[in-house]
Amino acid sequence: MKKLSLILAMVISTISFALAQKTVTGTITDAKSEPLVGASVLVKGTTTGTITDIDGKYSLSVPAGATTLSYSFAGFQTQDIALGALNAIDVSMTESILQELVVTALGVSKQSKALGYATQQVGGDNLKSANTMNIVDALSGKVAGAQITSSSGALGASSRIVIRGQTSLDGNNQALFVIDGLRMDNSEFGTEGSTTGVAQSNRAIDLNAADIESITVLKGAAASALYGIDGARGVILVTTKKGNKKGKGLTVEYSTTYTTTEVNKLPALQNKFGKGTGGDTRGFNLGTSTSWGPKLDTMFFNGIASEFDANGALVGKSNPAAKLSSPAKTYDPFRVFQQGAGWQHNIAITGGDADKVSYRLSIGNTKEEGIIPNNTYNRTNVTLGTTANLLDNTFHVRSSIQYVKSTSRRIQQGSNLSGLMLGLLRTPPSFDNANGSSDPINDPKAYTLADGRQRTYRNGGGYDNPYWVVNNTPYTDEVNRLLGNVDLTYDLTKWLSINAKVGTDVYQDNRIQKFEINSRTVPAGRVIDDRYTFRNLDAYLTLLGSTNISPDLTLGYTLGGNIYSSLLDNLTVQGDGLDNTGFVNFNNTTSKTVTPSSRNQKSLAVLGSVDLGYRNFLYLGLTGRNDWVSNLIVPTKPFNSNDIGFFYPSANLSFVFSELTKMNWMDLGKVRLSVGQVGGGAPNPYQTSTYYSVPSLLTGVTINDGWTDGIGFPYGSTYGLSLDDTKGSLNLKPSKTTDFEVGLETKLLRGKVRLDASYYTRYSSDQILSVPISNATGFGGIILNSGALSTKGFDVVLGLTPISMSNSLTWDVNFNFTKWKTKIESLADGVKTQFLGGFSPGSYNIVGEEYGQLYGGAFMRTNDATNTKFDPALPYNPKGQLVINNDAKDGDYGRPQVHPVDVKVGNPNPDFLLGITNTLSFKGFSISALIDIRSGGEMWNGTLGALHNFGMSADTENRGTETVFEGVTPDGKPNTIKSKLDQSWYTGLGNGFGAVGAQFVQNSGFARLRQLNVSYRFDSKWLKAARMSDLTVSFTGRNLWLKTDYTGVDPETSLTGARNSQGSDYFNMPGTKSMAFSLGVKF
Amino acid sequence: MVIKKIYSIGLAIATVLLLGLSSCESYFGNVNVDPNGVIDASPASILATIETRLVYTIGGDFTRYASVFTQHVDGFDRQFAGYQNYTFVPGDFGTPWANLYSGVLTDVKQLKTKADAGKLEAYGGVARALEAHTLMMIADFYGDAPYSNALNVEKTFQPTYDTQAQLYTTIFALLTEARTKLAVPTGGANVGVKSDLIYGGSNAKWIKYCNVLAARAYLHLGKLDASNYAKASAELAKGGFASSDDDATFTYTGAGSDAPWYQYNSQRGDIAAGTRYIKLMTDLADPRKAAYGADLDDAHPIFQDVQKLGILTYTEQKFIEAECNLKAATPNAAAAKAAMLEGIKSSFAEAGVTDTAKYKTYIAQAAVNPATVTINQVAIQKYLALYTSPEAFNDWRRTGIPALTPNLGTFVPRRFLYPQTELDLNTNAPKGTKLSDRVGWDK
Repeated sequence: MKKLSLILAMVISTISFALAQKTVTGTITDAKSEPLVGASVLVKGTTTGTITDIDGKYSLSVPAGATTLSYSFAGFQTQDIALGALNAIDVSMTESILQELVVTALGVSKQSKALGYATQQVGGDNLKSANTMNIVDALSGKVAGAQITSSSGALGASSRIVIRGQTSLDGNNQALFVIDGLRMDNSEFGTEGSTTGVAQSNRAIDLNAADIESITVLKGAAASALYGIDGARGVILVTTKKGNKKGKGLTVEYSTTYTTTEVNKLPALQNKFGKGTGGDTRGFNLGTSTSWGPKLDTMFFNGIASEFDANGALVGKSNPAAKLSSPAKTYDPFRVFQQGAGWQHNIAITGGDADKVSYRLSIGNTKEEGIIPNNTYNRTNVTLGTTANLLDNTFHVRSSIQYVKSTSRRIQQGSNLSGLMLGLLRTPPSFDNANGSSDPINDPKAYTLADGRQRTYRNGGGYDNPYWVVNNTPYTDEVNRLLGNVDLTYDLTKWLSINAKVGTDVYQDNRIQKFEINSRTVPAGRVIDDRYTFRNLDAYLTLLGSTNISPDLTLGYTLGGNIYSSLLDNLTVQGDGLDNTGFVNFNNTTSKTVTPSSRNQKSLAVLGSVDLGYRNFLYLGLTGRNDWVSNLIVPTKPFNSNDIGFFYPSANLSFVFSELTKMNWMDLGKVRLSVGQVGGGAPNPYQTSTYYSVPSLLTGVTINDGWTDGIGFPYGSTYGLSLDDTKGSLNLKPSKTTDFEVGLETKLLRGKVRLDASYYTRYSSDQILSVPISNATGFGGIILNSGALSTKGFDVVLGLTPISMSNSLTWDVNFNFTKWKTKIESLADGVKTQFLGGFSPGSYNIVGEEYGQLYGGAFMRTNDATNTKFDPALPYNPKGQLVINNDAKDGDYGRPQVHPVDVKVGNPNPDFLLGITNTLSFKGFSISALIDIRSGGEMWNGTLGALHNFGMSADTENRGTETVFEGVTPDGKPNTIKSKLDQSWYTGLGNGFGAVGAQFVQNSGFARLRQLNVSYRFDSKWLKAARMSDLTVSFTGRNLWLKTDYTGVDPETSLTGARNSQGSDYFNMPGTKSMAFSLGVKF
Repeated sequence: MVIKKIYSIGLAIATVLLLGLSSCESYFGNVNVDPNGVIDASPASILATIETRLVYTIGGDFTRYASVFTQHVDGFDRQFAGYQNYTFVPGDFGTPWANLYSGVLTDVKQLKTKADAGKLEAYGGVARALEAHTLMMIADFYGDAPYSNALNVEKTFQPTYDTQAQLYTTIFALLTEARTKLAVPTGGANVGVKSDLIYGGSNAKWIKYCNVLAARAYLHLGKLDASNYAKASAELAKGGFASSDDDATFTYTGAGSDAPWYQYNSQRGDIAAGTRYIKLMTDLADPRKAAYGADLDDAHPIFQDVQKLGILTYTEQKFIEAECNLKAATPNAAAAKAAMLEGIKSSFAEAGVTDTAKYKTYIAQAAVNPATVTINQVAIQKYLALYTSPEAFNDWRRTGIPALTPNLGTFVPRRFLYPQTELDLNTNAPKGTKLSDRVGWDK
């Protein structure tokens, strides 16, 4: 295109020469004052003109009578400037927004202005500068309409990304990842239960930001309808780097980053009271779990050294054994955390000719040790991207092959006797988990007793010593992944091409979890070898093209087919009962159990689209797709393709009103409108049958009592089978999601104001889900088409450039605003709640409420019309007054009472999200700060509740004080009864394990400095001398500042990882803040 | 030329698509059949699961909650610190309910269907015996509960509730059917029961089990109508357990197959032997105290990973016998005494007290074994013997012995609440049930 305009301009200039009468000179530059080479200058209304030279300079002889010069350059807005008496005209050109190309569904590039739906792009540099291990985290605050939640600060922990609300009641609600037009897996598999084990990864973590050209986010169904049901959740289109984008030449790039991380927030603990109960001390040689002992400033060591404390046991002052010279000490439990550190290296060689054959080969490695000792992550990516334009530029090949190897070592967390935070936070302040060792991480004396048992504050029982956890319960994994795709296009004619795309994503994820003998989770010892083999194949064959039907009417069209299969095999082997210490291996276990599982799905689709453009202001796009999906097949019925096939359409309209009005101050004004429908099969395969399965300790589906691991088969040599708790369905029909979106896009004042706002509604119905039913039916659930959910929301992208001084200072502000509410419209008939995960309070869908509410026990509150009495026949009123127990005989006299049934106690969904990025650039300097705000949303602080019970939360320092609970007594009078906040309160009703979880639900909103980048790019003159084309040094800080009312760890956390059940914190690993220094160089 | 090329390529694509669609069926193949899912199961494998689940469930919350109520144990930490003070919510009673309905009873239904279709009478008999036991657990702890309209998901998602009396009628009918089927000699099509983790496939023992279970059922109903004591005796007369060798026990083998109490205590803890229970043993100089009164650690018999957990025992049978003799229309105190002493002896053996001298000293006490025993001694001795058995809670509700002082508040709970899931999902579930309410036979 550029070449063409160059030639054209040369021709024009030649012609114009003869008629010259006056000479105008000047320089044409872009917004950054870089000269534009080959820009054209034309006397308006004539063919007289010239082009700029290598320095952007031009000189044009203008004929007499000419009044206006027109400046144009491909990709920039044409400017008309009145000539007057001027002889010198310098022009700064603004990039043409109207020409912007956007990658859309199936990898087809379309003109941004023709789209009737919202998309948003994040550039590769922006992703890389975020300096996150997980690519999902790099999008935080940068995409309007997306909510990103990192599950913890543990290395390798998953992050969740939801775009424009939930579309499935209990299926996958995270955005679909598509890499170079083909589907990529982003699963998070659990080796242990969702609330125990280690923090798992979502597999998008395998991507290396340095290899990504850009990410385009398709937000609504109209944008993503061609991807089928997976697309209804929004699509993250990843485009990889594949060689020179223009021109030719060989460049070598190298960048390195050194990152240090620290814990950013920890819960407050008491450090005044020692181990014990009822104010009496209990030695560490006893099993007592709580710190309801005496005040430590009244306690002294007796000097009789033990393995629990070299100073001896703690006794009171009056005890004759008390050594008054040796008062009790308190220890810092958080000493176990360390400063994490990591190195990242990326090297890339790019070469070839963009117009012919070009390639990019890159190798990246990132290696880090986390804030938790022995928590490591190491990933290597080798990527080869190529493009080729062959056969006279009629045959185009694009391909990308990526090999990823990642290894990590992870630490037990959550609700788990070996969870690091569990033992750590429950340890009385008087117990030194390090046992005085200067290097407890590597000193077995800290965590092992002479008899081989663990050294814990509960005489070897209770919970794991944190130093035991990091040494003796290792979890290691190794992922080997190959992501490859080839995209071939052959131009049959100018108006028709044929495209074939094939991609595959294959990986093997091998995990080994070991528990040494005496680990509290499994005192007998255990080893688990858990292997996942995933492979998918995604292939499209498409005819596509575009043509002009008349000068005013353009037509684009696509017709194709898609074959997709995704196969997952999992084999888990568990060995139990180690014979002897020091060798956690299957050859040392007394029993072994093997559990296979699979998850296979296939689909076929025929799809097509038509795009009509009228002049340059009205665009209409239509798509249709018919799917046939395997997971609707009922094996016991004869096969009929009509049973598993369904069609769904979409339409989008773009009206560029600025093309009609031609207002100077408005570069772009556009309204868009779209309606889309996406159909889907079942969220999981095999839901059309009811199977027997083997109760197994491995699958977690054991014969148990709700508290314990329970029993699995084989039992000795006996084999057992049980009919599944969920009844399969024989009559499923496809589910549907319908989207409506209206948007406004405008660019004003030469791009200094940029607004892109969308309002949308979506309605998902006929959901296929496991509907909980009365167990008395013989099943706990049944698969049904049932239930609906609706979302309303808007997202706004606003960009401002308050200062844009050519050649010096630029100030950019970008806002990304996200707000949605997804409401549960209905579940099955008679079903009011649906369990998603977590504890009590757990995460539930409740009819009429927002998605995934916290549901559990609450205090009894007044709910009658006068707001003074409790009436069990009326619904719970969260704003009512507490009803205080006034039965003087009752142990809970003067305290709140328990509401008789579970109710909604919290809403984890935020009110809105707002990311604000301020970027200041001056010459080579650039400072960019991203403030990320999550307003509202609640989290169950289960950690706090548990620490109340153990007398370890800082709140319990008020033990023994009296309070009058604000509320009314059952007779409706204001409560005046004094009540003691003592052990019986904190271990009773005020206890997190008790009936009232509601009291630990806290606001988890936050404002944080998500990202701070400071970079300096060396001057190009200086670089030329050093034979470099680029040299940049930069600093990146993440989460350096955090403000929140939440009293636990960083409120951006999730006990159950990236699953649907959000809003639970139960001894979660803390979050991190990091600082990184990078150097990037290009030759 | 170009048109021709397009035409041929278009044709090729159309052919590929058409082929794809016409061979849709072969493309998909069996992909929606879980390669690891079992479509059909053998009667033996289902029976093993039924037994394992029933016993583990009885050994779970039925045992723990009942033991808190009977004060056999004290909850002192976390959830059980609350339960000790009876702060229960409906959600706390969900697991036993779910385990028995969608676990045990569903599998029983499968097993019965298979057994009846294949004339596998032994399986049919054992399935019904275990079904009766399961229903009795439900009826005793929850009261009215679904059965006649339940376990039929094709018909209704909201089964109606049978009264407790109706459930007992069903229980007796099932036991009668079970005994009829078990009496059919095995052989030919009627293969003996395999994978029987309770009786190793002995029909004779299962028949005894049915007799003793029927006796237990009539005993429960004694509070309603004293004529049931004679019926209980009559059931035992059909042939009860001859010794503890006939006990219905489940053997936990350890190493990942650990007993439920052991799993609870090692994985969670929070519970100790009951102080009032220990005091009772202290007052009677009971030699079982060394075992049952110990800390819940390695020394305690219920803490063992390897353990035989009884769900219906010779010891219990002897106490049923004793009580029925006392409460018969014509009481027989001598027979009651003999049965009680045999029950104590059997209990001593269970507690590992094998020294006969200790037994003799113990029963020489008037407080234990007066010249004429009354319900007071029988009930107290049964209470001591059936340590942590859920049956002890049934006994206390019937007899009021021992007199229990509430841990907190004004009452000791007399039933389970209906689970939250049932309240949420079944409109037929009775609303507003309280822990202090009494089930049908407890009126």
